[in-house]
Amino acid sequence: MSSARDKLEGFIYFLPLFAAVLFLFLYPLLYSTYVSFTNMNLLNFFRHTYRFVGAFNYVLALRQRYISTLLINEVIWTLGSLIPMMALGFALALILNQRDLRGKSFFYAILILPWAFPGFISLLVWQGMWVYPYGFMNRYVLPSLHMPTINALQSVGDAWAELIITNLWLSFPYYMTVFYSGLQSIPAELYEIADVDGAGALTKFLRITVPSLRKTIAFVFITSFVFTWNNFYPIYVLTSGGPGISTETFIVYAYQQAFSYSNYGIAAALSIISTVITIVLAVVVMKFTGVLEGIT
Amino acid sequence: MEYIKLEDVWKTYKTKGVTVTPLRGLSMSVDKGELVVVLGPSGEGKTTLLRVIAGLLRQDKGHVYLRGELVDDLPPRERNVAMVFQSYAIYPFMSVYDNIAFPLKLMHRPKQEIDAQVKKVAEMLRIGDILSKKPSELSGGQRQRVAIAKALVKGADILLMDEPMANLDAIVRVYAREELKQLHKELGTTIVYVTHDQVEALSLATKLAVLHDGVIQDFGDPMEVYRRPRNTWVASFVGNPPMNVLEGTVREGYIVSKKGELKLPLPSSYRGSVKEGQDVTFGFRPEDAVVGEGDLRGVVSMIERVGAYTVVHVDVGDGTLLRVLYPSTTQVNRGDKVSFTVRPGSLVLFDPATGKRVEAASS
Amino acid sequence: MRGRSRRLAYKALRLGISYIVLIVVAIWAIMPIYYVIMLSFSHVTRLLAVSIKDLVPTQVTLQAYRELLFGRFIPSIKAPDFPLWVAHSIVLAAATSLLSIALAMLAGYGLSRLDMPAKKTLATFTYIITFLPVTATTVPLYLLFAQLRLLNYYGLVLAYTPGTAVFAAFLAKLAIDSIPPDYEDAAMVDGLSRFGVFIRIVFRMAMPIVALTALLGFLGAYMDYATAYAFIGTNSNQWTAMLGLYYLAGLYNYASAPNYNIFAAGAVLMGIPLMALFLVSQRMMTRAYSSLAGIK
Repeated sequence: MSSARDKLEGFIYFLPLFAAVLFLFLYPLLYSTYVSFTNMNLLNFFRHTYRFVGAFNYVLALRQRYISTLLINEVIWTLGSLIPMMALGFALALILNQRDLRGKSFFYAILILPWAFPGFISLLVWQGMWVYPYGFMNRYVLPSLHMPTINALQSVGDAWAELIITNLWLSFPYYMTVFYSGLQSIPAELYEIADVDGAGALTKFLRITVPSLRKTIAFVFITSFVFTWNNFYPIYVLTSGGPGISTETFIVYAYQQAFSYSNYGIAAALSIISTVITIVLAVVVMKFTGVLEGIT
Repeated sequence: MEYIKLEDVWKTYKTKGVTVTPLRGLSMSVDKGELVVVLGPSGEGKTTLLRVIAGLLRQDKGHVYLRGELVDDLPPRERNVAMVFQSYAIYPFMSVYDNIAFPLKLMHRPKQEIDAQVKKVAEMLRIGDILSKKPSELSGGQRQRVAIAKALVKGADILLMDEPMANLDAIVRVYAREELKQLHKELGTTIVYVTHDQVEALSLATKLAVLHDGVIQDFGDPMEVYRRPRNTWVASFVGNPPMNVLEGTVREGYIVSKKGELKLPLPSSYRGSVKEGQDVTFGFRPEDAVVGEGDLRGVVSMIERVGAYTVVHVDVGDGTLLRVLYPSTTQVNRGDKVSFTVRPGSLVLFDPATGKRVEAASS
Repeated sequence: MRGRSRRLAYKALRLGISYIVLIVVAIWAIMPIYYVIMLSFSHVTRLLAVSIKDLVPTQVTLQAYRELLFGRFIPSIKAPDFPLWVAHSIVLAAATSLLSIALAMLAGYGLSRLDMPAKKTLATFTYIITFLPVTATTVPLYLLFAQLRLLNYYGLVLAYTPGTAVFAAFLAKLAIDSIPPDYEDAAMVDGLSRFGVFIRIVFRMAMPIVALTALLGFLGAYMDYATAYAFIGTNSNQWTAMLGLYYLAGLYNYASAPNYNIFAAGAVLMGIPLMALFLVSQRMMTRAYSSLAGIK
């Protein structure tokens, strides 16, 4: 049902979005790539006195071990966040899935609050709670649980603990919801047959629950991985990448280089590296989940 | 005059990875004021044909003329045609009144004119009392009338209808057909109506067009097409039950069937058109077989009681089955031996090679 | 009988642990929110002065809210700051909504109805883009917009729109796919041009998606901090609500920060409505997905 004219018409409708994407995604990235090869900073930007310095920024990043530190941090941040989040979310989903549990909607409504409440605002609040030594957490909560206080300004381990606990608070409801609906969609008959066969709870869990959810778990893990890798706000608000650069990730570090230190050249280089990694990860997700068929 | 004309129209398109060519050099000509029904099997291009006339689709080759003018490059809104869709396409977010008024509103007609037109058309279709309702509150029959009203309100003299009765109950359909015929008589609109329903086609049409294989296989007065189809395909498609079509040979003034033991006298009108020994395909309608007397013999093999009549499948040898009609009151059982003749004037001969009808030398 | 009491004991244990876990996590989930709500109704002025007593609702005061709504924090601004910041955010977010709707609906219509060349490559391309968070392009966009003098509200709207519009375009395509084409054909025969059909008919019939896009665009723009700070952070009379909150939390300059309960009031005042809007958008999304899944 198409002719050349129809094809052109279709393209015209798509054009505004396409132009926006081109202009606001592609072109900035290209421009940044260019900038990453210069020594541009605040001073020479306006006078156009910046020079082309080749791969200097990249070499610098490698030689001063930014990149390896950032990569390690990314892995700690991503895996360190995802594993507790998914575990807690899964556990809660299992608990809520019990048929003889009362007050489900009540608990569900409360448990979903951390995710529903705007993350940025929550982070501002948490930041105040983590201040050492008189923030609410360090002054009341941790001591009353007989746990050591957390001083993110001094100790790297403490900084990571703070980040991961807060990120856990922010995101566990999402995983709880996803796994809960996954559990709900497992037909009850499967369990009933297992009961008739005499299976115990653990067997049912390992043989029915986990295999049924494998695809969901994998999909959630991979998409959350990419999301957490690029998650800017928790680190920026809570630790600003400190102490030193021990909790920096690519996206936070690039942002700071650009807007706190005006090292546009380095910021651009790091942005490019980060984007490339993200695209690679995104392609992996696509191939793995075959999502594309659902869209076209 | 030739009001709607299609000249050698071709249309190909791809859907879901498959390429189809529903229109292959189709030519058709409709006179002013005719109600032309395009009859054809489902999915064979009837809707495509209508869309090409309306301008919703552009044909790949060939030309479309409306009112004597070439309209190939005109978009639908400039062709001054009206269209009724199978799904009625009534906007659910507007009231019936607004739906009907919509085309006129687009033409920026003054409010009073719109109001007068809408009410007039609504009266004609007897929906004047539901003008303020929303489409979701209407029955199927009412919705159909709203769709027709919407089409008529423009005052366009060409109306295209795409199986508009398909979604109606059988009983409602009968009345809807009558009303459409009345409307056509009153307004004199030129209508192109597509359907796959035989009964509808034969009862509505002033001219019947049969569409198959991308072209019009036969065109003309409905009963003409029914009794003297132009080729074997039309013969076995039009009419329910369809024509009995068999292979045979001309021998000594008779047509002898190749299978079975049928021997029919060659009608005098064909004497000059066929030669001795010539192979012919011949056909006759089930209702033209006179049962009870005659030289032809057969055994009843299957019985279909349809209510108004009974279709009896008769085995005439070699597994060849013919369909004949019995009055519904007559008793008949499987295995009965029957004898019958065929009314001589009802026989139609076709060329076995091309399937085309053989013309009588004298009528 | 012993087996039965064993099973009952087992069940009591299972449910007991479940409830304990749920209650503990629920307390943890609600704690920061409760904390900030209580602070907003308290007299606390400095973070270090927060004590347990403040969390018990004995002394409730609206003082913080009053100061929030009518106070002036930045000397150079003549009007109360907070309402001004909120007004800015609303303007930005509304503009983003409108632009997103326009781009997404147009593109969705093109993708759905009209045969476009290279659909699959475009789909892949835009899908990858949805993986890049807004902050990934912040640095590149900044560098580009600085050149183009777009470091202002216009630039922000442009920066926010593609993220929402791309995702919404796919939803729009799916929604428009499910509208029978007969309506548009009828309208074209009635006299509308294809664009007229798009505006007057398709738009109306795809209202749920339009609403969802508006909401997503609004939330996406409203809740952003990173890009807003990058573009207009130095211009305190142009601040958005999120920039203002960051300031109120004392994260710019702790010493000169206003009273902490004012921050709490701001957090509550912004947090609760945004949370409500977010939950509404989630509801709309699940409804959109399920109605589309039903048809597919």
